[in-house]
Amino acid sequence: MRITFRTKLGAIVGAIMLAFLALIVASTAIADRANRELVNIQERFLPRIELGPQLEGKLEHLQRALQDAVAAHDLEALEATVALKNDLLERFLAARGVITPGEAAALRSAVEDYYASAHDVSRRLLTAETGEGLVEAMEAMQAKQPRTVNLLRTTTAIDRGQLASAFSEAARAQVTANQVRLIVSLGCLAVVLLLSIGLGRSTLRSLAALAVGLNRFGKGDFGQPIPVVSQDELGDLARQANQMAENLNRLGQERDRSDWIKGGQAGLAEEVRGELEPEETAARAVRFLARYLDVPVAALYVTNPDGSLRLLGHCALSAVGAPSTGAATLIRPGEGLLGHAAQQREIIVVADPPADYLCVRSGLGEARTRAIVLVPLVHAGRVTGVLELGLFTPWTDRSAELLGVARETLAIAIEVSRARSSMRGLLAETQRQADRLAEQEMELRATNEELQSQQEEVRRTNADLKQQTEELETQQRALQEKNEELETARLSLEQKAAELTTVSTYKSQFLSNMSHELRTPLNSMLLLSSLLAENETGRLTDKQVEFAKTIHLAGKDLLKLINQVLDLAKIESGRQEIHVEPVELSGLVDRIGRVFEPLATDKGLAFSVELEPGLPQTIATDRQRIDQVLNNLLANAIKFTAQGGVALHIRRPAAGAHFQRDGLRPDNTVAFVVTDSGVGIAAENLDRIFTPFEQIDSAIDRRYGGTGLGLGIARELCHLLGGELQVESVMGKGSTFTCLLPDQGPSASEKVRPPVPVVAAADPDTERSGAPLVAPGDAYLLLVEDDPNFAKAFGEIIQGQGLKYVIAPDGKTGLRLARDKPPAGIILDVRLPDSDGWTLMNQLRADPATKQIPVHFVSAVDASEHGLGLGAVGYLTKPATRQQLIQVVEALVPKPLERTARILVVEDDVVMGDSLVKQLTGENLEVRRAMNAQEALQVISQERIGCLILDLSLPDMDGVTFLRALETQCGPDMPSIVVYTARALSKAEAKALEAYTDAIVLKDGSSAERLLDEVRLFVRRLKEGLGPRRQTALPTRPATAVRLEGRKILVVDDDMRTVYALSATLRSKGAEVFVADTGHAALAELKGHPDVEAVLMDIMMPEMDGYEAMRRIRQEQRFRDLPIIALTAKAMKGERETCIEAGASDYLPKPVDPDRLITMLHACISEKVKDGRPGA
Amino acid sequence: MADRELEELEIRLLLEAIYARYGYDLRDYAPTSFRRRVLAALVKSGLENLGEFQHRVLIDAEFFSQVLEQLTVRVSEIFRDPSFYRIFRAKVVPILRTYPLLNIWHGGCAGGEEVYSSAILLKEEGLYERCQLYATDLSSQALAQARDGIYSAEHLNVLVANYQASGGNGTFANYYTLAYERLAMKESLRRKMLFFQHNLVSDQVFGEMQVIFCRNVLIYFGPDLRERVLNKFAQSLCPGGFLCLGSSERLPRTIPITKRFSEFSSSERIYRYDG
Repeated sequence: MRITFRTKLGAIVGAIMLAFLALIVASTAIADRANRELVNIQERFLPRIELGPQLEGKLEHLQRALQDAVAAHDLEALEATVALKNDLLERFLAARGVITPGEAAALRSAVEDYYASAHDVSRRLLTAETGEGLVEAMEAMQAKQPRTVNLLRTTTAIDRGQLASAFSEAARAQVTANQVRLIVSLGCLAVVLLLSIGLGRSTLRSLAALAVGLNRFGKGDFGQPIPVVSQDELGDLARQANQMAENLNRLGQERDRSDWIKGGQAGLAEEVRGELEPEETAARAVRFLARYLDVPVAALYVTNPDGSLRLLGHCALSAVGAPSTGAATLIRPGEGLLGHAAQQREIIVVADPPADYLCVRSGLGEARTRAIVLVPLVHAGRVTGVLELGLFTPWTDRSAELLGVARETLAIAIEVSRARSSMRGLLAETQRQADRLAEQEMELRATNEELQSQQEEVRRTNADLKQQTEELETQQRALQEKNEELETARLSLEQKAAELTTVSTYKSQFLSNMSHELRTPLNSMLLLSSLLAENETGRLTDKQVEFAKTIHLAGKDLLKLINQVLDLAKIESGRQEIHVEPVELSGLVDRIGRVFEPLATDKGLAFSVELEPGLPQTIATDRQRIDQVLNNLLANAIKFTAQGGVALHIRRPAAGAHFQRDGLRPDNTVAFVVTDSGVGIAAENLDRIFTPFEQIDSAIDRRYGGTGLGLGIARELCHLLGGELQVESVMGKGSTFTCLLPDQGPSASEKVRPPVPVVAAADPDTERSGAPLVAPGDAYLLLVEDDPNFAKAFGEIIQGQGLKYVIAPDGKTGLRLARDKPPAGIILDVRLPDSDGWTLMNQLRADPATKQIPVHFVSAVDASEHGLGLGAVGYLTKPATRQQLIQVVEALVPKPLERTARILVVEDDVVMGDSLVKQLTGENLEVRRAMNAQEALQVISQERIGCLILDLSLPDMDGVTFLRALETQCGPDMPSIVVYTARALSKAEAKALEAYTDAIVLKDGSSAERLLDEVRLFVRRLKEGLGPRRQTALPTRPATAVRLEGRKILVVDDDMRTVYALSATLRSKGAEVFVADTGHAALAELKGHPDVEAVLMDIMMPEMDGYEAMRRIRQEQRFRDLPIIALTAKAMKGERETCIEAGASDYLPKPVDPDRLITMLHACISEKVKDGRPGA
Repeated sequence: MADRELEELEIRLLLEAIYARYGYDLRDYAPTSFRRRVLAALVKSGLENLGEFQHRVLIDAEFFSQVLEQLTVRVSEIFRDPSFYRIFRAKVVPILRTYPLLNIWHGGCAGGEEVYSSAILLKEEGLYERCQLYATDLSSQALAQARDGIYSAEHLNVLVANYQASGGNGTFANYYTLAYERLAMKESLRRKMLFFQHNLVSDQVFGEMQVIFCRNVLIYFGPDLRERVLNKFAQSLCPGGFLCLGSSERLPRTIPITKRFSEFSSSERIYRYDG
């Protein structure tokens, strides 16, 4: 039966409590008895003791009341004593429990009796009833009184014996109680002691056993369990300790096992570590495992790439490979148990293999193995090999577990060693290859050497070649020299040709003059001969009349010839004038039909004129000249045609037609084609037929007559009309002459082309004579002038200006020189032997290389308008003074102004001026001083001043006036001007000053510092070769020939730099410029000058911007068509549209290209003029 | 081709398209920060890819102006960098006093905070009347904002503190009207201001300037654009004129024209054009 520790403790406590309870009960019972005794004593004796004196008191009170009543003679008081008596009697009744009823009755009667007598006596005494009996009554009464008292005393007296016995009884009871209490207490104590001893003993025994057991466990002895001696908690403790010991024991075993496995693993890893060959790895692994697992025989097979297994290492296997032992060195995939294991990848244990399966031999004997274990070595999902073990003992789990973990290690080790092995192989291979490379390198080096030697060879060959090249160069130089000679020859030839042309022109001129001279007498002769032939007087014989007729005819022929010569000469000398007008083609056709049809019919020839449809009604040309050409062609055709016909076709040239002249296109040209079926012209003669005074065949001439000038004139006329004359002909079959004329005749400029005076040929050596040699890069002036004396004189003037020059005696040379070596400027004569100044000017302007070169005309021909119109910088009419010629040079090459750092301080305040001078002198500057404007102007007129520091408040002149005066005095050579003033400037004043000054420094803040800055800036600019700052704003001279003479143009821009630049550009073209710096100012300016012809409008301006200003301008009817060109810094797309929307006529982006500006302005203004709507 | 390269190509094409269509030349902007902005704008547009984005930019001018705003947006506030204004007041203003007329150009004024700041400064220094302030920006929206001159009053105490730190000697409250938690800058400040759309890169200079503010603008430009812009500034400045850059900027000394600028205040990036 299980009695727990708790139960035992409960029992002991219960026993103790029971004992105490018994003790208490017993004590109480005994004490009760003793108490009863005492209560008895109290109840029996105490009231009697108290009652006696009480009653005696009452009685005494009654007696005294009676006596008092008697003494007071108060009857009523006497009667009141009855109440006292009754009170006493009632007391007797009340003390019934104390006194027995008998005693009470006795007492009552005794009291009654006494009172009756006393009352009676008293009453008698009061009533003074003397009588007898009174004394007796008194005596009786006196006798009765002690008796009553005695009775009372006896009744209430206590029996002492009884009291003593009662007390002794109580004492006895007390003693008995104490005894009982002692006995019971001792009993309880004994019981508790017994129980405790029992419990202690059993507990101690269990604890001792437990301690011994635990001590043993602590020492690691888990062999014996702790005996379970009791069935209580200690027993449980012992059991749990046993359990714990058991667990510890098991864990220990497991740890051992795991240690063993780990040891095996580590050992294996250690064994196969290092750079081992696979065989060595296998052998070591097998040896180690055999030893560790305690197996007698083991073998390791590795997987070959084809999956077969190869024996790599073994232990205790005898005669591997010998058929008798049965141990195979190579096992095919899946073959036998080994192969199976490899495929299964799981450890296979073959327990109890057949007796002859595998035996292990030693020197002493042999034994068969009890079990075979096949362990596939798997790593990364691949079977690396299989380990086979033969055992004498049964296969343990421990071994299985070790191999389970070790097989991967082994697999890795084998793979690593195999990889290493193959790497070594590769390394060896690399080494071999490196060796081979080294070999090849050697070979290469050899080849290289060879190449180098070849190179050397090449180099030598090159040297030879170079020599040859040099020779060639020498030859080339020789050639070049030859070429140059040739060029010289060519030039002289050209010169000659030019001379010839001149001669030819001269001849034409001569002829032209001569013809006039000839015609005058001839006319007289013709008139006279015709008069003679008329023979009015009849005095002449028929023969004579015939002679006169012959003279007349011959004269007519001569006149015709002379006229034609005159024509040709006129044309060739450029004197022929043409009058371009609309010529109706149909009218032309009519006239030709009318004139030539009868002639052809007379000769029996067919004649037709065809006007192709689709041609313009009229063409602009010279009617007279075209008639002349066609007449000539048709007359020739009829003349040279004996049979067949002559036809004129007027049509557009064929699409593929070839034109010699520029500007002729099939769609703007009319072809007049004259076809005949006459004798034709031989191919070799086609060129000659147009040559004046040439006849192809004198025989023909004789047969047909004629001057031979006609075709030449026709061709020249065609040229003059802007067209050309072509001819096709087949000998004997006929000819076709085609006159090609443009729809629109020669342009106006050609029409008004001024005549070129014909002059004698110039000395061809002029170019070389007198002029200084011009080195490459030298700036020089080109003098195109055929008069050697004038050229030489001019050249000297140019040299006097410190410049070099080259004279070109004719246009061609001039053009060549200008192109080859652009000069700084060209001085051009109009009359030139080979061409004229206009042509040369146009050629110069047309060529981008020469376009920018400034040209100044110097000519006896007075045509300055035309010259400037072509874009010349100036025009000087001869004869010229020396001064004028110097100005020409200066106009072409603006003289670099002599710059000086000298500074003039214009300041009327002495102190201020002195301090300034001192400061500037400290800056190492040369300083002059002027006290007022007059003095300043005087100083400037005397010496060059680079910079002027100007106080605005001068006593004699205000600032702007002074500056204007200065400008007049200095012209373009104004010094830099720095205004230094204490005056507050309004915006308008400041802007007005800005036009003249480099800087304005107000005497405020760090003004001294800034003034110095500005002066230093001036000095620096001087060193850099720059002039005053306001001049740098000037753009390059516009190259365009367009001029804006007298045009009124308003420039609106708030930026003064732009304003200067634009004004300067416009003024250089002759325009009159007005300026406004805001939109408001522009409106005001327009109001004041409504005749302004164009406005240049900046967009970004304060107060009122350009858009707004343009809108406002356009609101006024009179400015609706005023050309406004918007100038904007914005390059964004859409800006143009915005400007146009706001009212601009056109738009120019900043920075403004002066050429574009001028052209655009010109176009805008002339368009408006053409529209006939002047702005004003 | 890697995604990143494709993206770069698309951005390049977008910028080419913008240039061809609108003439805004953003092609040489500093690539990394710009790429971020383009991509942010793309995300904001809600469009799928840069191809769609480009198409939209091409056909929708209004959309483009928003994009432009995002691509060139800058942050500023009144009297930002008070130390700059303090130095400007102390060192530049005395020199400006010597000019009878002052042209001051805020190139890339963005929301106009700086223009108003300088206007206040000039007013307090008594120079305002002789000034012409040109405020230009690429973005018309930014210009509209600058013209309005209405700013958040959220950090008014900061603005006041900055104003005082900048050396302000008046009462900041005199320069604005406060309503609806907004500061409306006083009209009197605007009197001498001229607002213009202007592309620093492709547009030309429009006047001679004594001072050019171009604070925190150049950082958005690539080296080529920087050179173009700085050349333009040099063209525009009078000799001795001032160029004020942002505190984080520096004149790139590899650009030849910068040799003509000398440092006036190194701590505040104020340069002076030598002429």
